[in-house]
Amino acid sequence: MTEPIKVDIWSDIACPWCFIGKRKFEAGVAAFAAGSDTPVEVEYHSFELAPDTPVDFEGSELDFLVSHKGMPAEQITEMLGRVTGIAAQSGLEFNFDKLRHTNTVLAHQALHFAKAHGKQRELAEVLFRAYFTDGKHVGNIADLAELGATVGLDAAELTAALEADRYLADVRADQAQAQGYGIQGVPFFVIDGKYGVSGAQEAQAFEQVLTQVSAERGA
Amino acid sequence: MSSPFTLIGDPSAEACGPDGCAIPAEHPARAQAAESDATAPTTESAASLAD
Repeated sequence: MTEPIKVDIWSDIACPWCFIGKRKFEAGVAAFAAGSDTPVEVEYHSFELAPDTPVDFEGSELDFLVSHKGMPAEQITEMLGRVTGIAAQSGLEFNFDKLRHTNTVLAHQALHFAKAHGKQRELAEVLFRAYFTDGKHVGNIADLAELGATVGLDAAELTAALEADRYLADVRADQAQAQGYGIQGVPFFVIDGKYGVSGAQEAQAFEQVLTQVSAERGA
Repeated sequence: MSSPFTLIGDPSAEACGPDGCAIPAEHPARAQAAESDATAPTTESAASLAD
């Protein structure tokens, strides 16, 4: 069997371009897979954009940005509209009016728990959708356990892991690795340990780099 | 710090960092319309969004 191409992705759940970039990456992988039998293996890594964000912020995304960033409401509303429009072009529904702003460190721990149980990709999708589309809370243990159960994770076991911060060291290790790599923004994709793709690139960029890696292996 | 990786793709692709998220200067629908004039805006503003 052909050795898979490994793709390491640094991202944060509270990052609109990470969800949009995820869709574009998946489209690129699908295009690559149409012409290649080389599998692509994905691993998500933690990147906290705003570790000082409170778990239970009371208010809308608009309220958060107005109060914490000091930006005019009109400007923020226009920005959110632009991002919503771009997300829709990738088939995503963003509902910023329902979004529950929160701290994501527990969500990152849940993703490490899911990785240990072979469900990381599934949980990443569920968490992004919960945050940007469904307006669900992804910052506390009870909600994360419920979301984890939807992808087949044991809710009680996940709860115990989160209560004990069992995967916090893994989150910190990912963050340290990102810092060591000089990663300053997300999403950031590392392809086969040697190519870096920064931001929500078009699907063709991902297809191109995967094709290039595959060709180099055969060279 | 320089990246240990060979960077591929558009260096201006949208991303989020500690200071916020890059937002296109124009609404995508307007930007698409502007492309026909070969004057599509490419400038992005680093605005704080969803962080």
